[in-house]
Amino acid sequence: MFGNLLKKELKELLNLYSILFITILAAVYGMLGQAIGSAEKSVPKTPTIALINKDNSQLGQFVDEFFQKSAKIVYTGDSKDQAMRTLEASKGIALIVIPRNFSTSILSGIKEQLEVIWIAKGTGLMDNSGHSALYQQLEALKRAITQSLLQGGYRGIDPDVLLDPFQLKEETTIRNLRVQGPPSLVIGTIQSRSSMIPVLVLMLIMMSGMTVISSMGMEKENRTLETLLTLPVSRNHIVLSKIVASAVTGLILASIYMVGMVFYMRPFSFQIPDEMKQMLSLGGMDYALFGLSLFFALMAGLSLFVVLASFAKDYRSSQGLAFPVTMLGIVPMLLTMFKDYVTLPFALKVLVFLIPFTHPMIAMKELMLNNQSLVILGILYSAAFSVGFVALATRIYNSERILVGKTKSKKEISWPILRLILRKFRKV
Amino acid sequence: MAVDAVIVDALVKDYGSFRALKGISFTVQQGEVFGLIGPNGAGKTTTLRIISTLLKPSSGNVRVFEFDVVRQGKEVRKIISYLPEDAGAHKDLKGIDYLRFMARFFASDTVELERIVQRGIEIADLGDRIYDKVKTYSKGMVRRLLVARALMTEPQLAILDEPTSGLDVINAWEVRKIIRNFAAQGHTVLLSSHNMLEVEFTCDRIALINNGEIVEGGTPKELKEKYNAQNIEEVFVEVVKCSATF
Repeated sequence: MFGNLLKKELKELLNLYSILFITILAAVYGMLGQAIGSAEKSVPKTPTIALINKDNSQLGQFVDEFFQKSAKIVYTGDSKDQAMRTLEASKGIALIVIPRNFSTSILSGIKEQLEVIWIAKGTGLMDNSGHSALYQQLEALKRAITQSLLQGGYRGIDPDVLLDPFQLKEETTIRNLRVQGPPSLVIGTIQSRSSMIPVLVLMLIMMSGMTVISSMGMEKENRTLETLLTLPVSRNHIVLSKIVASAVTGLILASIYMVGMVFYMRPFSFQIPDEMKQMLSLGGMDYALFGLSLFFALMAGLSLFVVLASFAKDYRSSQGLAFPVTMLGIVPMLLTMFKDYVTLPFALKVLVFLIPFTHPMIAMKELMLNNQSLVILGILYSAAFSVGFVALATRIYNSERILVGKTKSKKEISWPILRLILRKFRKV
Repeated sequence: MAVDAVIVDALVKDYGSFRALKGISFTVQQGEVFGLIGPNGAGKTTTLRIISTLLKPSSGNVRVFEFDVVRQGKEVRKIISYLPEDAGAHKDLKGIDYLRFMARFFASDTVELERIVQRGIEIADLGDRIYDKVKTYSKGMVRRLLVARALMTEPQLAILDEPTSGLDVINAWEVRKIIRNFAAQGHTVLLSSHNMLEVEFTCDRIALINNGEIVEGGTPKELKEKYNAQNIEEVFVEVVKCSATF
């Protein structure tokens, strides 16, 4: 008895579509894992740096020799601009400048500043993994200087300077921006202003998508769609009214959600220096672009949901159809947490670009980094995607597919029969 | 001279490899109640859905008051009203709001809108329950509301698929009365049913459909005389037996 019931339940729940979608999703996650793993492996243990040594005396030479042994130095001249260009070309991570009076100051008991200009490739967790290796070496350098001073008999130096002979004067270059401060603070600032965006976009897509797909499922289950389709009203209007109503509902729900999130995030941004806040702030045009990006991604998502809804037989099956689209939103959300869009491998870049939900997820970050062109390209793509899928949805709603589902045509059926006949013919 | 409200000519409908309609032809005249009767799966709903512009024929022609259902679907939808079998209403609306929502597709101004809604309220005859939400209605009440929705706009052709399906005796009788009253005002009704006795009392003319083919047609009286039968059920059995013999 139980077996009989179990068999029936499994038959209802485990269908070809659900297994297929999960398989595809597992493959995508596998690809993501591979990409992230390969990025981790590609981080060299020896950091690539440029070094400008303005101090030819004792400690300047010591630092120079230290990095000659522990790092790969790609530039050793006097020009910062040339050094930065060489670093960019050789995928280096920082320029270290030893100031003119480095040795004299420390030996006189004055703490010196070592200038470090970092190159941040992106704002993802995996984008700047090489930085930590250089931070470790800078700490090792401090210990080595202390040891050298102690061995050299410089015991009269202020113990505070002896144990911690220099401080870092850090600047960070990210894309075309150069900001005062360590990369962690710069990236942290960008993250604090954009990290909730992917979650918001996903919430918005889920809320609006579930609304539209449930509405279609209910129309089919209650048999109200059939009546609606025989009324003197354009079927385009039926499709558009569903999409727009769901978009408005989604926007209202997401706005309420965001009010809570703003209050939640406020305490985390008080440590950001005003100068950095100003440099990474957005203008009116940027907000307009972000709004457009969000709107068109939402429209694209909803038009996709409406097309999928045509496969729904009832309310229950419509819920299952919403799942793959939601998963599609999770892929760019997770990926952009680990790596910036621009630092992704080409194949993943293409794949992620094709998902319309990616664009508002990365828009805020890209706008802060003055990369408006990628945001505009994303808006154009999402708009084209929306138009295409609304047209497809309208076509489906104008056809009988919406009522009777897909039926095999005689042509489709005849192929296997034809193959069977040919096989038999060959045997003969 | 009677005007043809519906002309169905050599209508074929395939669902993949399955042929649901095998070239059926019939006409419905203006002002009559025409019944398409047959067992479940005979092709009644498919025929009504094609006439209502929901499905496209595989071949053949269908015209509703001179409008071609394929090429002039929009025009057809303006003059018909279709009540699907087992149709539902939007459950979260009140009965009156559902009628008003539907009336807005047909009314050109608020006066006409209120006139249509008023007619809907009268046809449904649900008393104060018309102000309650549809989800609180019994099956019979929902069906009366839907029949009212279909007829309140006074369509040139009302297409009713199994209008009394699943209703108890009293509710079925009420719905049949509504249809007869509507027809008495000179409107055209095309309905389907598998209840042969019901059709006998409601329709002016009928066509018997079986396995996607029209096997017989005429007034109930003519058919009973032709087959020397007591009722249409007996006629149907005789017709199916004869067609099987050939």
